[in-house]
Amino acid sequence: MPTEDKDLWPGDPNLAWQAYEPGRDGPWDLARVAHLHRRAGFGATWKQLQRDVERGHEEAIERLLKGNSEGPDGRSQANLDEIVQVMTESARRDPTLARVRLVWLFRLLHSPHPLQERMTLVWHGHYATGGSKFNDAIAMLDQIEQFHQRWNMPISRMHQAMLDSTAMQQWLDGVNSPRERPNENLGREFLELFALGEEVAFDEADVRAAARALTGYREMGTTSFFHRPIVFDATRHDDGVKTLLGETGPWGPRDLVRIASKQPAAARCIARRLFLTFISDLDPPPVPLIDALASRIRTPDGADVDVAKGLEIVLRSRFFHSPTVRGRKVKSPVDFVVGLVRSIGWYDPRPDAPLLDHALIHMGQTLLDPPTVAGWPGGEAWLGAPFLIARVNLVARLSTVNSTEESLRRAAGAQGLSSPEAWANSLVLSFSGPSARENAPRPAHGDPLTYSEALRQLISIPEAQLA
Amino acid sequence: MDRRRFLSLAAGLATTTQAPGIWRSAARAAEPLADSTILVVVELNGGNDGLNTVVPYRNDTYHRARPTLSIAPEKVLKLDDSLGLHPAMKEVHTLWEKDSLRVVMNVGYPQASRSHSRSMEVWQSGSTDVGPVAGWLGRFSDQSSSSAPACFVGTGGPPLAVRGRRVAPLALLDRSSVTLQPGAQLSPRPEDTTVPDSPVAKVSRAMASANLLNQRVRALPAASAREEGDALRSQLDMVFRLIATDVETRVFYTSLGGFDTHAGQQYAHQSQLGALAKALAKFQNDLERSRLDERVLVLVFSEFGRRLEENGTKGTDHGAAAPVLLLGSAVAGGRIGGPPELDQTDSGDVPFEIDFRDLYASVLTDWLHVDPTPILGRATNQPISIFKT
Repeated sequence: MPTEDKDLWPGDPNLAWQAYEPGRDGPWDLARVAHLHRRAGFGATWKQLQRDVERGHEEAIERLLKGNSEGPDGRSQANLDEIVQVMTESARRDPTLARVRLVWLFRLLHSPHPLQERMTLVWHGHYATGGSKFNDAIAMLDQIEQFHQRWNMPISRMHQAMLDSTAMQQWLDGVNSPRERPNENLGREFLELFALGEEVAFDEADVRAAARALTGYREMGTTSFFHRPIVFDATRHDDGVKTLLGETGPWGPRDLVRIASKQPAAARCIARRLFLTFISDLDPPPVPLIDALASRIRTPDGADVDVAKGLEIVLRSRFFHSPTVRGRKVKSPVDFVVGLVRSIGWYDPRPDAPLLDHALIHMGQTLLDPPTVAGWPGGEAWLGAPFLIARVNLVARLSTVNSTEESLRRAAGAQGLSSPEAWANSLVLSFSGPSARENAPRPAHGDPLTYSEALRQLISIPEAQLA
Repeated sequence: MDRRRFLSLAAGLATTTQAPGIWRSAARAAEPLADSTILVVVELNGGNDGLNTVVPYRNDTYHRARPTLSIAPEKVLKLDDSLGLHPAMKEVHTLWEKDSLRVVMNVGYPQASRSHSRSMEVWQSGSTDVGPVAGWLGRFSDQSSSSAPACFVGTGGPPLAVRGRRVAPLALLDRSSVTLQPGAQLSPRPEDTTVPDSPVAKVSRAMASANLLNQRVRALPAASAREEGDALRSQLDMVFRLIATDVETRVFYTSLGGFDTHAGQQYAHQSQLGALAKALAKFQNDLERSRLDERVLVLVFSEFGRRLEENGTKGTDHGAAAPVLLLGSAVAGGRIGGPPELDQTDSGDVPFEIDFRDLYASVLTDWLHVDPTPILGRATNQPISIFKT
C-alpha cells in the first residue's frame, strides 16, 4: 500500500543531519526558536523565546541540551529537587499510582531542564510499563527515577536498568520464569520493542534464547504487601549454552544487553525513536534518513548506541530546523497540558495539579499506565473525539475558576504583554505548531476580549493540537 | 431519532463549516441506509488462546502439551465430536445451538508475526504491507460516502483498523466522553481551505467528527443498565444504542484486553472469555428485541493465538493461527475448517489454514456489498461462505 508521506527531505539524507546554519538554511527567528522549545521541551514563555532569538541558535540549543539554572517559575534546581524529594518520600510512605503521577507532573511543570523531562517521558513510552497490572507504585516510582537519571546515557545502561527493574519484571512476567520452561514475554519484547525494533533483526530461536538468558529473576521475599522487589538469583538461572543473535555462549541478562546493543538494528531502533519524538509522528520514518542517523549514533567502538550524541545531532540538524517538519507532530496530552502552563508561564497561581492529572486521563494519557506494551501509539491516535473534547473541556473548566482571569493577566504582564490581544498573538506563535496567525483570537459577541476567552479560542483551533 | 430527522440535522450541519464532507454527502444520499447491513468487530487484544477457546478436546497432543491448562473433554461445551467451547462461554454455546454462530478455524496468514504490534497492524490494516497508514474498515469508509465513518467505541484512541486515508473515524466511550462542556468549542478549518493530507486537515476532520458526535449523543437513549466494571458489555451497549438511533455508521469497532496470558492463565482467561460471552449474548438479545438482529454481523478476532505447549509459569506464549467467531441471525451456523493440526505445528504453533484476508473479503462482498479488491489490495483467493442462503 502506498504511504502518503510527502517528501520531508528530498535531497541527500546525509545532509539532513548536518548542523543548521542560519546563513544557508534560513534565519534564526521566533518560529524556529518556538519550534525548538515545543519539540525539545514543552514550550517556553515569550521572554525566553525573545532571549533565545537574540542570543543565537548555538546558545539556545546548548541551553536546552544542558538545562537552565532555574525553572520557568524562577525556582532554582536545588529548590525544585527539595520539593520533589519531599513529595517522593510522602509517595513512598503511602504509595499509590496517583501520588507518583503527581510527583512526576510537578517535575514536568517546573523543571529547569525540559529536555531531561521530555526524554523521561520518551523512555516511559519506549519501555512502556503498565502500572495498573501489578499495582506496585513504588516500583513505578523507581522505574521513572531510572528514566530520569539515565535519560541520555548509552542505551545499554538503560536496557540493563530496565531488565533489573521490578516494574518491568512484574509487567512482562520475567519474575519467576523457570529454567525448565521459560516464559517468553520479556525476552520477546526486549528484542522487538526495546532493543532492535525490527522483526527481521531476530527470529523465534533468538526469542527462545533470550527467554532462557533472562531466567533467574525472583521476588526477594515479601517486604510489604504493596512492594515486591526482585533480585537476580544465579541458582535459578539457565546458564547453559545458547545461541543469541549469532553468538554462542552461556549467556545471561548482561550478555543479552551487550549482544543486542551492538547490532546495527539497535542504532536504527533509537534513530526511529528520535525521529518520532522530535521530527514527526504523522509520517512513517523514511529509511534513508534513519540509516543516516543510525550510522552517526553508534559509539566509536561500535558496541553501543550513544543517546546523548543522537540528541545533539537531531536538535542541531538542518532537518529539525527546516520549516517542512514544523507542525508534523500531534501534541500528546502531556505536551498540551504541560505546554500550556509552561508557554504561558502560568504559575501565579498554577492550575491545580490533580485537575490537570485528571484531564490527562480523559485526553488518553494516563501516566504510569500506557495502553499496550508498545506504549502510546501517538500521532493520529491522539485525535479521537473524546480526547479532543477533553482538551477543550479542560480549558473551559479552568476558565470558570474565578482566579483564572487574574492569574492569566499577571502571567501576561510578567512577559511584558499588556493586553489580551497582544498576549494571544504571542501564544499563537509559541503554542501552535504551524503558523496560525490568521486564527488569532478575537472578541466574541462584541464584548472586549478577555484573557480566558482568548485562551478558549486559542486552544480550539487545529494548529494548537500540533507541535 | 428517525432517519428523516437525522438527515435534516446532517443537512443543517452542512450549511456550517463544522460538517465534514462525508456528512454533507450523507445528507445528499438518496439510498436509504436504515435497512443496510452493519458489521461490528470485537478485537480480543493480547493474543487470545484459540486452543482453549475452541478446544480440540479429543486430541491427545493438546492434553499432553498442557499439563495444567488443558480443558477436560467432560468440561467443554461441545460443538461436535472434535471441538468444544471453553466452559466459560455458555452464552455463546446457546447461540451455536440457535444456529447463530459460525466458527472459522485456523485463521491466520503466511509467516505470521508473533509480535503484538506487528500482527495487530496486519489484522487491522488487512494487509501484510509495512507501514500502513489506514485500516481495512477506514478504507471501507473512504469508499462509502453515503454512510457515516467507521466508529470506535472504547477507551484509547481510534485504532488503525477504523482510520481512513480521507475520513476521520468516529470514536467515543460513553455519552459524557463526547460532550462539550459549556464554553468549550472545537473550531475545525473548513475542508476547502486545507490541503487534504496536511496535518491541519487531519486535525480538522477529527474535530468535525467530534463536534458531530457531541451533537448526536444528545439524542441517544440512556444506557440500558449500569454496565460499569464490564468494559465490553458497556461498549456493545453503546454500539446497540447507536445502531438503534440509526447513526448511519455501518462499521463499529470495539476491543477487549487482557488476553496476553503468559503467566497464571487459567483464571484470567476464563474470566475474559466469560465477559466476552455474556457481552455478546446480551448484545444479540438487545438486537433481537429491537428486530435489528438480521442487520448485524459480529466478528470476533485476536492478533494471534497462543503456543500449543504451556510454559513454566502456567501460561502460554505467543502463537499463530486461531479461530475467528462470526455471530448474528444472518450467519449460517456451523464451522469452517477442521480441528487444528497439532502434530504438524508451525514451530510449536497452530498452522494457518484460512487467510484472514479471504475472510475479510467475504465479509466486504457478501455483507457490506462492496468490492474488496481496492480495500485489501489483493484479489480474493478462497471465498468463505458465511451466511444463510
